[in-house]
Amino acid sequence: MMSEGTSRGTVALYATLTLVAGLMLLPFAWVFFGAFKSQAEILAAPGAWLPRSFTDFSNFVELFARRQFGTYLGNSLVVSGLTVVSNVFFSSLAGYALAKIPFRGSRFVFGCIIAAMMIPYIALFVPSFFIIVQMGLLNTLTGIFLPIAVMPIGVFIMRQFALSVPNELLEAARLDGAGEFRIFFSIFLPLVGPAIATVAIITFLNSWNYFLWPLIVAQNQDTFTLPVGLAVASQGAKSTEYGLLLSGAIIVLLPVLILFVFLQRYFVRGIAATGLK
Amino acid sequence: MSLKRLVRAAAFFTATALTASLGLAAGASAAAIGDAPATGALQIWIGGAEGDKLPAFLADFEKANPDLKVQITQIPSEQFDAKLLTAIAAGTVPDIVRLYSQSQASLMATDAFAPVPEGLVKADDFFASAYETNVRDGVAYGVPWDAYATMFQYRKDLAEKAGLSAPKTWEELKTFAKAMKDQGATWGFSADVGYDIYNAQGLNEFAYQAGGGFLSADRKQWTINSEANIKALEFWGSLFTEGLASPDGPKFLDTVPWFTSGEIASKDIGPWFEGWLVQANGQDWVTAKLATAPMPAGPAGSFSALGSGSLAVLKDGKNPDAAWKLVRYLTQPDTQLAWYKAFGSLPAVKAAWNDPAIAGNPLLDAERQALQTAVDIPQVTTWNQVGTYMGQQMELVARGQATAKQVLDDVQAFAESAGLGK
Repeated sequence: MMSEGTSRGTVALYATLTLVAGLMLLPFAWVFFGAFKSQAEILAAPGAWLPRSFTDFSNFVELFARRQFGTYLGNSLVVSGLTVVSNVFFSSLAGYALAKIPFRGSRFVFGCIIAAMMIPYIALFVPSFFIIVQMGLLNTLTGIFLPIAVMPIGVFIMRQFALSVPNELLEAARLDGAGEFRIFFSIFLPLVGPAIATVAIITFLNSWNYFLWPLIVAQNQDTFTLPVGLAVASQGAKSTEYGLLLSGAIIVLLPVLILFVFLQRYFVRGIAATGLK
Repeated sequence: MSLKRLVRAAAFFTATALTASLGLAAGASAAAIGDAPATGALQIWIGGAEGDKLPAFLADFEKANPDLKVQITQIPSEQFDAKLLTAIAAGTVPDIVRLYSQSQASLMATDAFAPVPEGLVKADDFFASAYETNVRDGVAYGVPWDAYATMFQYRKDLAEKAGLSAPKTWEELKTFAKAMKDQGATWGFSADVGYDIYNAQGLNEFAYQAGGGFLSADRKQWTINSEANIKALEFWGSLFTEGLASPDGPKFLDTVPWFTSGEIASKDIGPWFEGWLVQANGQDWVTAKLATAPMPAGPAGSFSALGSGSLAVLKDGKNPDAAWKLVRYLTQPDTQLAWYKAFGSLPAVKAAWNDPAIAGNPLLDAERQALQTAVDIPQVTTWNQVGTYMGQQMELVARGQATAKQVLDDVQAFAESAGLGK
């Protein structure tokens, strides 16, 4: 009796969860199907769920052949790549120092970094822009990535993770005569792999979806990133070009989706560890 | 038309024409622009799809000005103001931008624009209200590039079955909407129901139709709860409470399918509606089923809501001479017509409308009339807040939860505390 009740309950639970998950996926399905539809198909009444043809790639062709999506994609990869590498490198250095090297004012420095996390980024917008202009980095990819080259959240995650690395390991290395950098690269980094993955994922998502700042810094289309380019490409003469918008959204989504499939474990851990996404 | 109405209309025209010509005269401080070819580099920022078509369109201009290098940057229109305001603050502006009448007041308040030089264009060549949009304290800071006005657009096939032509007055609009319901339409008419700033822009045209307006004649005071405006909102609300229009839809993208399926039979909407319907249903459908007319007249006449795009030159731009030369080129009747053919933007220059390309489209006859009397939103920097609030509150009237007077008294108080801005 008991086990039958449980299994029936389980079936009901899974059925409900599947149904709800399916409902959650519907908007994504609509985006995906829409990417293969023409404007007329999207605006038609009553609308159909499935496109007339799944092999009609004309929206994608239009984006890459006429709307510079290749350039935007390249720019986005460069900006996100630089952001990830620089955040991982500097955050782990800072995290290591703050957790494992006692120095005067270390708690104060960490407090400042935490405080910086509280400042909304929009408040830093105009000052950041002035600095970028003064540095002569307007309309450059460097100017786009520099303000997020080191995010406080990355330092925070690395420092918290570093605390869990046993001091004995580092001391053993020190006794063997290893210098601080040798310890950092050979002992510390291999031990904090999950934290590095978390920082990489968070900073990648941040920079990949970054919209307003690249829009302001880029002065012409050659330095636009994908989200900015997508907003521009989907503007039609008479109304929004929904086919281009939806197929562009797929292109923006794809790298994140691939990343998610491969790094799912870390994604969940990263979000759970920080309470942020 | 009664004598009183005629006098009022005449006064309106004289007033706008006068301010428009004053604007040109006062702009005379800037040096005149010569006829030598433009040289150097020229930066243009454009929000919207125009930026995609404009580079190819400018090939002739570049041929005539071989030492000029034009660079056009397309900006997502929703973030255009944010980008331009940041650039103005940092002094990194382009030479030319395209401004929208709906949002240009706050940009113009930054004093970042150069007055239009003497003799560059003639104010009388443009639709008066489109030109007036750019005038501040008698000085013009931009030149209209394109112009739109709302029209009454309806299902011709249903109207023919009912034996009706387009309604000419508010009363006829109600009769028309009832007849459309008898012909099987779920709703005879459709008014904007986004309950946002565009709703307030829509009420502005009803306000003028009733003889009102949101600002006093000297533009120094809000007059939102005037008798005429209350009458306008009452009429607008009655379209919903009498079951002629739905307070729930269609919203934005739904407009095309609702109109196509006959769920709505008429709507006040701009000339782009034709293009949307052609895209969705094809030209034959549109030819058979769509007709346009000027907005039904209220006690004070027929007025439409204006939408206009203007070209403005930045004071801190690097190449003002070339910028003005391009603005002059783009606002020639021939260029305006060519741009209409290339892109579909309706010319702001009246002479361009005589060409068969436009005059031959019967759907645009009403548009031409509507543009003569189209009314702009209040060009003050606080319109964004006031209009947004007004749009939200209009929902109460549409749903019969408050009277027009209650709502407009409330919005007037809100507007007075917001002031007129800079």
